Amino acid sequence: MDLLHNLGLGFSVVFTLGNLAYCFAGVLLGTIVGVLPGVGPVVTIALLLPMTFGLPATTAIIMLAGIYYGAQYGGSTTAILMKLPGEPSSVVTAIDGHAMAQKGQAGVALGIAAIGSFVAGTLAAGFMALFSPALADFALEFGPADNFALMAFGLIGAVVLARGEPLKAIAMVLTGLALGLVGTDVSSSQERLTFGAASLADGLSFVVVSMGLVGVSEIIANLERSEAEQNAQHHIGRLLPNRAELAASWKAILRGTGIGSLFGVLPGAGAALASFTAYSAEKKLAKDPSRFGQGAIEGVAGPESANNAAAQTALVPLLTLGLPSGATTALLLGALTIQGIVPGPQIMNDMPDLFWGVIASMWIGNILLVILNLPLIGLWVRMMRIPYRLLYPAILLFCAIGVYSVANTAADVFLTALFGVLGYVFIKLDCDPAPLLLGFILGPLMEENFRRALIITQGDFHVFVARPISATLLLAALVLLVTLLVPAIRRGREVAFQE
Amino acid sequence: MSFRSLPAVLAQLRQKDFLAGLLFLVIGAVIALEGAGLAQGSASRMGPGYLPLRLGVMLASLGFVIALQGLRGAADPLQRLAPAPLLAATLALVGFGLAIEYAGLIVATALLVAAARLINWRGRVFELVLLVLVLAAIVVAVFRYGLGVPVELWPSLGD
Repeated sequence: MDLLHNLGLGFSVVFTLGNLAYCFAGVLLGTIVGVLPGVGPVVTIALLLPMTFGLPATTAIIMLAGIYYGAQYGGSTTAILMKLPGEPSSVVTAIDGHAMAQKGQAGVALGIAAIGSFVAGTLAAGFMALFSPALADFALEFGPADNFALMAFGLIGAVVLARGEPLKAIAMVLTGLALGLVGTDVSSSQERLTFGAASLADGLSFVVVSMGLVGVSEIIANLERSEAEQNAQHHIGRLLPNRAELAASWKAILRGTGIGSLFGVLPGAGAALASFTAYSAEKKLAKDPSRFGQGAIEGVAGPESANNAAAQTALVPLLTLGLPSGATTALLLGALTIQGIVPGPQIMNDMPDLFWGVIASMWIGNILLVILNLPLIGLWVRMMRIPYRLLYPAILLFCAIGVYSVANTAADVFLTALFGVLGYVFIKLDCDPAPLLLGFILGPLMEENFRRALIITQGDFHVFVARPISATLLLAALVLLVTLLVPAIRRGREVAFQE
Repeated sequence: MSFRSLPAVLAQLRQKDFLAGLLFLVIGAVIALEGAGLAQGSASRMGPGYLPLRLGVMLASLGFVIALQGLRGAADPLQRLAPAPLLAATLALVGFGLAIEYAGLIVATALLVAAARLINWRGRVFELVLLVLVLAAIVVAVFRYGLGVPVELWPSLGD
């Protein structure tokens, strides 16, 4: 069987000492940085990215995937213990998870989150193995026009999910696309938008943009608030759920896995929407919905399974179509590009060891996550109590040296400072940076496909509506855009965001 | 915004969407102007300025619409930017960037940490020194020796 053969290949890639060690290091580092207060998964990945640049491509992406779900799990830990969700996808976990912690059941909440994440991760990796090849085969038929349409659709998807006014999110996408154009134009070798700065001739490094916009700006914004009270729960209690608790949550875990796996693949949807949907599904299905908010274990099990499943299936469009579905996967795409890999359907044929190695590493990573988290929880709790005044100089330092190490130039550090200030202004103006990041990373790819499509047709724009795939995707993007701007639906979206 | 008093109109000028729109308008205009200065080419043979000009115009127009909506929207004024954290973070990064190539990683680390802590320094000398030592040790171990980043540790004397 093909699938078994492929999985065998994947496991043979992971089960080398080096790759196992980097997978472990990724999960460990991701969790350590992820549990630090005020450091969400996006920042965690941005901070740890430079550490993977020197590694071979497959090892680097295995480690990054480990960092990715380690950070995600770290975020859930702070959500449960401190009611400080590091990212939108653990906002709902904070509700019932923290309520459980206040009742002295912090350990059980963490335990069920780990078990749910493990089950979800394992099943989601299975879905990926089953469905990715078909999707990649389909995507191999994409021409430049189709690729362009696909990315446009992905960008609109990001707008739908961005916080705040949709028009502003669209403007952020355009700003990101423009930043992606900075540098030397490939076909004319003429410099564009560099304003004469020699350091911009090679374009803006995505490490600079992401560290500045999400890392440095977050620090500035956090410092502005007075140091929050550290109300981490000290009492953890037993970690393993008992039989009654497992009986109450196993269905929620499976439902969460299903919801998460589905939402993860949708461009722009991602983990946040998955965990919200799983939470409201559990609440609707419960015999006594009033328990929710008071520490219902299904309210932790469902969303936690959903966001982990979604975090993993989000890699499907990334690895098969080259389409990131959110800020985190956009960072992974940037990392792949730095490794010299163009993500897309050809990965599965050209680099089967990379693709299947990543899938297999997910199983391993999820096992490591459980092994690591349950015994080390005491350490995480202590790390959470590190005061921010000691933490932010360290984060800033890692930003600085991380950015410097990419190209060994101080100019990149100065640019990071600039993007930090810009990012802070965006935060103050309620402009979500995620769409900008996505636009920035997709910009050069979109331009290339746009140009190629028009070279083939000698400047005839009809190609974008004449090809069925491209036409369908653009129509879908247009429908999304219109619904977003129609006042009635807009109000519904605002309500949904407030919940 | 029919007949509002002058203070109300002025307050509306600090509305977040209005200011965000202005920001996008300016960014878009700059991009469009830069793009207009480059060869345009045609759709089948795009010059370097083809996309920047169009993208800039789109962004500027969108910014204009957002700003207009902001003027008519509910009052939601921009809160004051916090100058101290802004300055401390910028100073820390710029100091690090200046120091790293001439004074080495350890001095750069000390400068960054000290600059970052300017805003909540609270006279804790010992804590600051300890923080610098610990972070310098981590950074040297991880980046210089672990990842092999080619950077001097100390100021290079003599040359």
